[in-house]
Amino acid sequence: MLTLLLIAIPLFMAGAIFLMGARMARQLALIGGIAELLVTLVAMYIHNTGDASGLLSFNRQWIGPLGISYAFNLDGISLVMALLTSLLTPIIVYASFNRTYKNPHVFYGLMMLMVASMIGAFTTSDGFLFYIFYEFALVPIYFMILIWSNSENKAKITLKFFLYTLFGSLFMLVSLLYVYQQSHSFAFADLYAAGQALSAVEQGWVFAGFFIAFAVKIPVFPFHTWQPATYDAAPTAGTMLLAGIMLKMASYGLIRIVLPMLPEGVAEYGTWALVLSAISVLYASGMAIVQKRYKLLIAYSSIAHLGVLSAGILSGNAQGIQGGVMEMLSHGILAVGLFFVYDILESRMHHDEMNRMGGIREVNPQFAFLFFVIVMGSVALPLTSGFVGEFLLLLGLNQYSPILTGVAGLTVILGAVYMLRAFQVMMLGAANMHTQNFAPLSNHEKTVLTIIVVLVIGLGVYPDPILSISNPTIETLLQGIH
Amino acid sequence: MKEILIISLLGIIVLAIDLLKLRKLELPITIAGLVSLITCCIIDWGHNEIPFAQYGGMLCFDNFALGFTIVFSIIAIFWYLITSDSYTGHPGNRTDIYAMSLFSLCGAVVMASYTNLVMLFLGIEILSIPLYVLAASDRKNILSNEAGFKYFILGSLASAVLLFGIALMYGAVGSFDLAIIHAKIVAMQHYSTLMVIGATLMLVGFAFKISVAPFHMWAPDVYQGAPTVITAFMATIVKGAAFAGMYKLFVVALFPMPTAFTTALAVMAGLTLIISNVIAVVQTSSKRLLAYSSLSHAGFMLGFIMMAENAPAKYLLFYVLTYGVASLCAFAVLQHVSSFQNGDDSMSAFKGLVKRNPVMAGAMTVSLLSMAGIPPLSGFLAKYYVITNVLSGGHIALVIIMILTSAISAYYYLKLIIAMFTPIENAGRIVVGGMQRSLYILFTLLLVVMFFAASLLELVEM
Repeated sequence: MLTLLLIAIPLFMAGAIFLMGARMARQLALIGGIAELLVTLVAMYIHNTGDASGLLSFNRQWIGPLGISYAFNLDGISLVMALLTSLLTPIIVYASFNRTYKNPHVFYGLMMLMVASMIGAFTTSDGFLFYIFYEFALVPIYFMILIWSNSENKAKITLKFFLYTLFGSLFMLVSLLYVYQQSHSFAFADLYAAGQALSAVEQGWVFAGFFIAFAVKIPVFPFHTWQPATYDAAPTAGTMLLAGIMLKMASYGLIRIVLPMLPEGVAEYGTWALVLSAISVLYASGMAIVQKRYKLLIAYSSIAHLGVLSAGILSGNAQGIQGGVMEMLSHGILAVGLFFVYDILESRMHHDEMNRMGGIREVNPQFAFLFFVIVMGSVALPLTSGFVGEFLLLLGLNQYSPILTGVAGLTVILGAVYMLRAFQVMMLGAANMHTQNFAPLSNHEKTVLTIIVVLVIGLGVYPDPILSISNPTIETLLQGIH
Repeated sequence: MKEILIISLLGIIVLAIDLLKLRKLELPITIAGLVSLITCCIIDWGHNEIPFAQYGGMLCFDNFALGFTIVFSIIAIFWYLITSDSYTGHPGNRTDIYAMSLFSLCGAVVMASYTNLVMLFLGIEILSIPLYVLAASDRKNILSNEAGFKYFILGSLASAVLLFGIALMYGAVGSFDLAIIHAKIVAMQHYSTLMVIGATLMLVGFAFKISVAPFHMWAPDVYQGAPTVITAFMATIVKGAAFAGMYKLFVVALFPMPTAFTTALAVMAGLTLIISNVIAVVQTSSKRLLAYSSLSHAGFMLGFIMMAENAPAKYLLFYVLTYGVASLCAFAVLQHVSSFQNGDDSMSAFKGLVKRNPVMAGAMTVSLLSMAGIPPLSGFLAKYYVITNVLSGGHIALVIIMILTSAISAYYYLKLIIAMFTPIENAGRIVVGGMQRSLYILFTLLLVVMFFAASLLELVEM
């Protein structure tokens, strides 16, 4: 029942925000986000105490003859993903308090709709519902970018974004239906059984369909071309939602659907997917190094990190998956932090060209320090959340192929190159005419950055709560495969 | 008996009302008549016995016929209500259009309920002849005249081909009755040459009527030339009726079809999807774009005819209803938008609609997304049913075409949506009546509700 509550709260809030109009929009959205977080924490508590009251799962038939049910289940992996969503939602809402969006009730209403569908995708245990949620999340974010973007080319960029992802997910639909022809039920358990019963070649084709869908969304080279432009065009809150939560639906899909359903397909034909992911790391890191604008740099660094993520998950062992779960959470928090830094810079200087910055640390050491911690998390320094995830991912990948690990491991080194260079160019040195009047952080900005910094360090020092929640589920998942 | 009587009497009553100078009553009486038609259908639901066969067994109101009659009536009610403000300039025209469309609706009911090829032909003619007139009903407009003329010439040719096919089928079987034809085919276990030719000609005739490639050339011109309200009628009810008739013919009577027929249908569906969606991409007139979108949906619905053995009619019915609501909504918005700018139906006429009339822009967005097949709107489920059925028949190539063209269709639907959300300077508000406004909201809700209520469809026995 708690799972239903998790979907119902943002849905209800979306309705309330639409109806209440502009005045209370963001406050209501914040309340919704916090309520969501509380429910998730309760669910985690219940999960940890081993409560078997059935509060964490829900199953009702929807279209019986077609094998479609309203089925939700909060197991370890889903709980972490729900935590990711419900932790970031209030932060994203609160972070956008320093922005005034036109028609805020529509903006925050759409945001809540999106949260509802993302939570749905993370918690459902029915393939059909997963597809619906996965697809629907696209609609609110599409309109958020189309309406609130300041970019000149927003129509073109959003169109590309929408069509690209739609195109990808249609391949997933075909693959899903192909397995469904065997199982006649969309319950994950039945899909797993039917998928495993397919021949290796069939599994390979079905895997190809799923991988195209997920590779577009993760995104993996060469399906990434929509991403930098879309991040750039989107209003900051939209970018945070996209990078922080929405794209994790795809990597979650790899863990939840692809690995357990198509083990042979991944084993036989997964190599090229892993190779693509590794290329993705190299390519995006290279692109990040040459970027002149901060937001695009972050966009490319995101592709690089997610390349490691998808490679680690597809290696298909416990460390890889464990690292994947951890990295999704960590990358979500870091992405929100990095884009919030963009928002702070942009609101003061109205541009994000790094060469025109410099010396901000001199003017505002506090901001520079908080930013530095986030940068450290992003380059996966030990004792930050980024380290735990990437370390486990590379460990998992190493069992699969040491060569690929060497390539993907470059992300840490190259990441340090471009992140530290960016930090150096922007923050260090002497203040110039553009930066000498850099206004001090408002309390609101301080709060957001502090929360993110605390989370980055907290999860880095003590990741055990997250690992111990997801671990048993991953074990079960892997047992189902072998 | 009741159903046919009600609908044809209704047409005559509307004509009589005009003579009595009580034009204000036309709309209420039409709606009341259609509501009573729906009521009759609901009362008769489930009585599939002989007494419900009429005219010597040439019409049979089984659940299939009743289901389609209900859907046609619902769409017709929406159509009458949403277009009721389109005749303010020419109240005299309204009577003609109402009567004509009711007679056409009568033909649609016949096409859903026939059990005899003669009735099929009669139904098609009753459906089509008023339409030829309706398409040309904007007499001063040269395009409308062209549409009526083109529709008439090609429509009669198609009818002739169909009739020839029926005659040959009679020659082969010795009966017009669907059940007897079916029994004969089952007994013979294959088609005789005469039957193959007859069935092919009937297929061609129907392909004209439902406008699938390569017999679709007339449709974009006619859809664009005809007055928008008439186009809405043609794209929803007429197309639905043609599909109901075709389903009955191919799935009830001519089953099991030779594999060549299934292949031919698959090729036609694939061609239709590719041609219509690709051409739609380059359209600048939104009306013509919607015409091509209508063609592409015909391609989808053809999937049901093709997968006759395991595609229950209720899924076709769901498709007709879903597409009917979405398409009606889109055409109605087009009608309202273009009538506010001197009949301009280009894409740019939609610019800034979200400011000029948010309700209409919202309804249009939802119906376009539904037609594009984005969940959770009922258009997604409708397409989903087709795709699962076609996939279960092993036609992977067609499924891939359906998927790819769906993505293409999203492109041109989104272009229209983007236009609506593009702000423009000094645009006046577009004002519509309270009833139209609430209908738009109803359409929006329906498209969402039908998705979540889809489980009810499984309770329907057809």
